[in-house]
Amino acid sequence: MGKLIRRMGPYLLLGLIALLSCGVGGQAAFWLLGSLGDLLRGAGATFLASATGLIGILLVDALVIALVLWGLRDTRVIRYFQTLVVVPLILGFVLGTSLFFGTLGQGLPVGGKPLKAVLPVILVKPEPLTGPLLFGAPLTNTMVAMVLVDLVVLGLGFLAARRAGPLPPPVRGLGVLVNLFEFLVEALYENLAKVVLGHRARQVFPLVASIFLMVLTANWMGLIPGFDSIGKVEHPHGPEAGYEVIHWGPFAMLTAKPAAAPAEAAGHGSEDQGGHEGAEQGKAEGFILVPYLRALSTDLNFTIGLALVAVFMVQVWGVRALGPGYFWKFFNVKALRRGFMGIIEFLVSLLELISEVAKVLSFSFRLFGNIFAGHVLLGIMMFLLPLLIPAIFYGLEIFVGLIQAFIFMMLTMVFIALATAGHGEGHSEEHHS
Amino acid sequence: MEALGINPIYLIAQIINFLLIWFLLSRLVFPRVLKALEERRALIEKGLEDAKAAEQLRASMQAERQRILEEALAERQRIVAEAVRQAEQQRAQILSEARAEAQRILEVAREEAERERERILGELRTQIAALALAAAHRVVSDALDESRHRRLIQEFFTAVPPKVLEELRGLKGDRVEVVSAIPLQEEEKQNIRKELSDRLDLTGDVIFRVDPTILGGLVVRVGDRVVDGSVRARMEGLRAALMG
Repeated sequence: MGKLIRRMGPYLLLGLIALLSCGVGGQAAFWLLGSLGDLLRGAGATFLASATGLIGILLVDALVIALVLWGLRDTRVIRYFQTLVVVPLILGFVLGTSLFFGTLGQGLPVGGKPLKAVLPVILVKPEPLTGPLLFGAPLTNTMVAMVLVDLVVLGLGFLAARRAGPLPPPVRGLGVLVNLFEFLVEALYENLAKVVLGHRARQVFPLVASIFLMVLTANWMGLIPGFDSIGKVEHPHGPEAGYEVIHWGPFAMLTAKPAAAPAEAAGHGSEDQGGHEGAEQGKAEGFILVPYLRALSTDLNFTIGLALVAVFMVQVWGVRALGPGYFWKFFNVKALRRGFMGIIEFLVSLLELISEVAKVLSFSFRLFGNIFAGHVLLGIMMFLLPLLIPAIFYGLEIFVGLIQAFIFMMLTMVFIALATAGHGEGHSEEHHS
Repeated sequence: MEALGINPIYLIAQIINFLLIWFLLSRLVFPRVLKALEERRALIEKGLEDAKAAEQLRASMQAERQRILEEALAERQRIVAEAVRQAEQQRAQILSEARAEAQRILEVAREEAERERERILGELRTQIAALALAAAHRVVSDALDESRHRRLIQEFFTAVPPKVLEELRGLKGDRVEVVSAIPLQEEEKQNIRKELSDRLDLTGDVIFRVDPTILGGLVVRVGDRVVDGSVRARMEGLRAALMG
């Protein structure tokens, strides 16, 4: 095992750097992309100069990704490419895009409008992509991400289930994914679930493993270039001024040239009126990007829903293990007979109830906060200094995504273990009487 | 809540979505994967156990081989020892047989010599008688006829003196030895035996021996008692009388 790590280590590191850089570069490139819908509407004119520039960027991006994938497939190939092609390409690409499209650079002037990374619009609420669809709720970009996460999780799961057998799958092609899935399941089940949950591991494991896979996929998927950076351009709904766009064939690109501030243009009315008018005015002036895809974990509905299921299942397992007596933990009326101390014990038991509710909150806001903050950080870093620094934060976000998934799963497991183990009431009662 | 984007419809949609994923994974994916992993572990363990068993078998085979080898070695040694022992035995047997054969041949030779000696002495007796007769003829010249003379000689050699017989009377003899100067004939032996058994209590056999040095007459030994009726003793007596 050690030998394998030693042999594979440099390649893995190189692959990781390439991936990170591609992520950063891709993010930087995709920040600039606008709406596909404009093609359908036939809006905008084609500027050949900027078109070739962007095609160049995209081609280099695709080349780097293809090289990295190719290199990762066969370690012999990467050996030749690591010094000759891949590293200079990646470094040059990252440096070029960073310098050129960051705050330091001037960007690509297209029709007098500089083309470079802009400060993203930070919204806690998932952005709707359509009008009201189902029960008056529009399709949001996180719902699209949810479907993608579902597809990835189920696809990986079914692939692993179909290939499951006593003989390990080949480490080639899809077998790599199957191996990865089996490694994950074995590590979680053998080293974690069995230790924490004991004999209940087999029954509880699907729940916690599902949580882990869902959260991990949701977190990591949000880091794929294109998330948060490809979308449609809209007029801002808030007080933001927005930016001017250029149209290029099927694409519309957000430029770094700010539009005339609508609030200022509207004069000096009252605030809400000004905002309203600004929106009215902004429609004509600036544009903002509404991404088609946004990390699922930055949707509070997802985190709260997951937390509700997890905490509810904790109660279910508690009742399954201890019977109806499980609820004595929350309403310790038996203790009332013991006079003053009993009353305090009863109040403490009510606190337990509150702590269950707090669990939902801590579960959901921990995950949401970490991932949301990570994405905001990445966006701002890209805007401020897209010069290798975002790559570090990108790597950090990969780590945070894994850690948050692990924490969510681990806490669920620990809470279930605590609930099924009883809460010491029976023992303390025996000791007292 | 609305500012945070929390919406009951999305919430319910997310919960249903997760429940669906959970259901599908726990029904269709995890049992199979866990089972496969278990099978794989069992397979590996079985392989290891098989290897261990094979190793044990190999070791036991080697031990068996060693044991058989040692047994064969011991068997060989045993056979060699047995062969040596048998050869030794055979040798000893052959040796003892040869010794016995030699002894027998010696015995036969001795008997032959004895018989030859007696035959010669017997022949000598007749010659002695003839010589004595011829000498007496010349001394006494016809004083004796020949048959009487022969009887005299006979008596000279074979008769037990009456004095001797008297001395023997009443003696108890379990081992009686009669020594004569010449070999006695069978009828003479018969006579002597008869005479002796008349006078003494004979329990054992009478043994006859020949000793030419006594010249004539008989020496009878009964137990530790010796009655000397030999010519030599008489001549000794005569010599003592003449010189004394």
